[in-house]
Amino acid sequence: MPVQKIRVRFRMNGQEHEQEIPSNITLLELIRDELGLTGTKEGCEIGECGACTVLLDGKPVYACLILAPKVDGREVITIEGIGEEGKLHPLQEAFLTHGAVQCGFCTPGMLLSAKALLDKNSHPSREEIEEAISGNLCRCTGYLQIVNAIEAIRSGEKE
Amino acid sequence: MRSEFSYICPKSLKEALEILTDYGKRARVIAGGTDLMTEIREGKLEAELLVDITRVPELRFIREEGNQTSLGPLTTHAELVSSMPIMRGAPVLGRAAHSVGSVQIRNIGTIGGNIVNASPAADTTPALVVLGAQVVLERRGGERTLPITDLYLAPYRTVIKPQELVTKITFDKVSNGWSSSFIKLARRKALAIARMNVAVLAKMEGKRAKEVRISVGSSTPTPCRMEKAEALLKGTVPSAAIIEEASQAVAQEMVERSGVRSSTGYKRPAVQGLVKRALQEVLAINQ
Ligand SMILES: Cc1cc2nc3c(=O)[nH]c(=O)nc-3n(C[C@H](O)[C@H](O)[C@H](O)COP(=O)(O)OP(=O)(O)OC[C@H]3O[C@@H](n4cnc5c(N)ncnc54)[C@H](O)[C@@H]3O)c2cc1C
Ligand code: FES
Ligand code: FES
Repeated sequence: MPVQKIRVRFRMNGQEHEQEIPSNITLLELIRDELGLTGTKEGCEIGECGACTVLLDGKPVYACLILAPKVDGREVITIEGIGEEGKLHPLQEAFLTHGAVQCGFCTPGMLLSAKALLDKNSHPSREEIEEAISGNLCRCTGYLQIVNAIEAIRSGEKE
Repeated sequence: MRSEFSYICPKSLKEALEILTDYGKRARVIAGGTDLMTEIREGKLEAELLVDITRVPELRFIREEGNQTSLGPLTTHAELVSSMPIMRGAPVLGRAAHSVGSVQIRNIGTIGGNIVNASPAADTTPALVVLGAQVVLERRGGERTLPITDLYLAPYRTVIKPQELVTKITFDKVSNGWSSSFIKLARRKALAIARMNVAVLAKMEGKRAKEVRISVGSSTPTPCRMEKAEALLKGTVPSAAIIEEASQAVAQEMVERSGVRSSTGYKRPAVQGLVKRALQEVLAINQ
């Protein structure tokens, strides 16, 4: 017989996890409430804003729309999993130098969408960059700085 | 209050169908969950068991068999967009899938979920309707195949039984001599306008339109072809005047099928304009 609590095993940010979780929570709740990683933001919770974007098996998804038991056997990357302790990921550097971070609420999701794009396409066009981040809303920057930052990585520009 | 349920993740089609037969109405299928999560969050899911079919290997494929393309219901919108057999053999479906939500939604949302959820605004539906898609429904010990238009009873209601799964979607390839268009009205949240969309396929023979197929989403009680306009166009040498007439006929047929409603005032010109643009595109008539 199936049960209300589910045991899931998954990799998150390079680390193996095994956890007993309620069957009806979202991946966002698993990340923030059960594992205490609060870099992934909670915005609309209905798949409209992109603040909760994480990578599931390398693909950007809205953690607020994924039923948590689905992560069993899979790999999740959150914002805590990019870059290293004390050293920013090149995308994070580029976001800072290009003024792509204002209030910062959209930033973790944006960075993961950008990372997923660059992982499969190291030389995206501006249109491809715009498309890749179109599921991530930013209320502060007007997107130009964000596209510029991602474009800078693409062209290997270092500042 | 959020819905509460047990969760099970069968690893084969046989196992999935057995669970669905045993539980009947007490079970509910979840694929990507992009539609179902809303129900769960709002506490509206009544089932006691959620059957996650995403690990059933038999339901995930894109195959070309002779003149036919067949898809597993777990094919995501992102997979449709990046599939050569789809972009070559059914570009109208590729464009429809590309218009769905955002990257994040397309990575998770499946064509099976899109069909079964039966939202009038579902983007892949009009494309599948003009492709003449057949949908295979399987249950333990049997299967049936229905044209996609026979699945629907009303918005959000289908003939699919709780014991059944959509296991395959098939259609003939439409590459040689066919052109296609899919256009969706830009979504304007503030106005809460239904997300209207139109799919058109046309086959030309010399200068004449041998066959034209039109389906418009969010405009009829259930998905269908706009047969009056199709008949008007069939066999003609397309012109701006005929396209105008056909677009009006579609708007007229929409009103006949759904009756006059409060939304008819804005929908009528919207549908007419949308169909006109799509016809101009497939029939290569510029105004
Ligand atoms: C923010 C957002 C934006 C969206 N934008 C669009 C859009 O632009 N266009 C559009 O068309 N849709 C859109 N959707 C709706 C949704 O993403 C799609 O309908 C998607 O294809 C559903 O697939 P799923 O796998 O997530 O379905 P699920 O939520 O898993 O399932 C939906 C329904 O189908 C049933 N089901 C699923 N698979 C099967 C099967 N094989 N056999 C039997 N029953 C099955 C489930 O029981 C459920 O009733 C959007 C949703 C969100 C949240
Ligand atoms: S919180 Fe998930 S998309 Fe807004
Ligand atoms: S920086 Fe504030 S929402 Fe993007």
